[in-house]
Amino acid sequence: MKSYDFLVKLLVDEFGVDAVELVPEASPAGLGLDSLSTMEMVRELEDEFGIKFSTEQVNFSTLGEAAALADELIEAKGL
Amino acid sequence: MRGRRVFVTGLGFVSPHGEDPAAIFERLFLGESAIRTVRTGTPEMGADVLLASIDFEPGDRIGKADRLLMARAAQLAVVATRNALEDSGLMTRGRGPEEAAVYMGCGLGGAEILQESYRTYSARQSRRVRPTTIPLIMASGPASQVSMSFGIRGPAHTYSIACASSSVAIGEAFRSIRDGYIDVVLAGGAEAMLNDGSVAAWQGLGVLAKEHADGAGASCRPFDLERTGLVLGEGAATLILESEDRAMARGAHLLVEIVGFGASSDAHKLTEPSVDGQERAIRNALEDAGLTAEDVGYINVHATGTPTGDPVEIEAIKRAFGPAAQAVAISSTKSMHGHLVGASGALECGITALALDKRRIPPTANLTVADPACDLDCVPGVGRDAPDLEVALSNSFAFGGSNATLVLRRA
Repeated sequence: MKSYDFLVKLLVDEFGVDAVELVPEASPAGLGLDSLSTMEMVRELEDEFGIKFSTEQVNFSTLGEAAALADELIEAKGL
Repeated sequence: MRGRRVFVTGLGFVSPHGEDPAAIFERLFLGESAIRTVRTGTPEMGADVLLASIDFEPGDRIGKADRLLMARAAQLAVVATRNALEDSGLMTRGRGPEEAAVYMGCGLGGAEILQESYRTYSARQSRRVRPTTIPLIMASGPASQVSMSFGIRGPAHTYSIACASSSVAIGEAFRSIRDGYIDVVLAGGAEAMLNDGSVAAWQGLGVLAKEHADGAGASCRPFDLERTGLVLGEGAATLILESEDRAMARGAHLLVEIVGFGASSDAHKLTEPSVDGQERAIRNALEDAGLTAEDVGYINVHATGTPTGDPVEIEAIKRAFGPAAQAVAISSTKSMHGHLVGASGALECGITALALDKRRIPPTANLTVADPACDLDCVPGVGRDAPDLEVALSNSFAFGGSNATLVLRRA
């Protein structure tokens, strides 16, 4: 869950997304992020938590999915 | 060569003296310098440097998400172009004329983005560079972002010719309209290379001014005996160029007419200018305009304030103008706004347009004791009224020996 909170803050503060649009079901494209911006978002997430999305994992379709993947990677790192 | 007439119908600045053209001109006319001492770089590696930097805040004029995809130079270009489109009356619900072209000059593109990527690679020992680095560092960023921001669907071209970049962009825009290829061009330039790595590189070149005893604002002194070099600035300027037919049909305000463009190369040295090359650019421009040196009342010169460069331009003007050189007023407004490199030609062309419109000539600030080798009328200190002013030139001469001169006439 901490990665979801990080994503919300990142998208509001750095990407200028309206907070009311930020629900777990929202897609990056639906929030106005193109593929390049989505890559920037993933990179910020990776840097924050010291994780790395695989090429397949970058193909998430919602913010909730991205956060769940990140949480899994964070947990795996801790083991 | 005669063709269609070309007018400037809008002007947009993001400059060291601000964004409002009338207010900028007023400050320049009074000889007010925007040069200051700025602390740049990191705490360990930074330095106090004389700069004409801008406290730029795009605010809601560029959305946060869009800013992430624009280097600083592109952001400056977008805001300057927004100002120009609004000034020209060509902005409709945030969009410009889609049939227009964009011709932009830029030297280094996203210099600060490149620095950041190298810092990540070298200092942080990481290959995890921002994924947007490549599209952001390109010199074509300003032109592309202007096209995307305002829905401009004609050609979006970039001219990267060092210090002459945006003069050539305006010159080529003028030719494209005159020769019937296009009716309206958003022409100008942008530069933002005041990141510490780039400034250090300029320091290495040994051409930057030292601080004068009278303060930072007195440090850029073209034609003065105590001149020590140039001061870097940043910013963007966009001119809306339109064919006479298009401008008249919509009842546009005609600020000034562009009547000639001349370009040449020195084929000489990388950083050492040549009288011959500059003289040919001036002659070519006057011939292109069908005018003679006697017609010209003012030259906004390239002169950056370096010991070697300024006398070369004076000599080039003397040779190109002959006896008329003694009668023409010349000034270097770089003494106040610094050297904007890829944006300098557009900013200075805009200032020249305002000088013609107002019939007031801006000065060369900080010129107190003239170098005997710079013995033309260099309008020292403060500006002067010029009730008969009809025609003016704007010179831009670049490293690599590329020279460009624009000829402007009162509308």
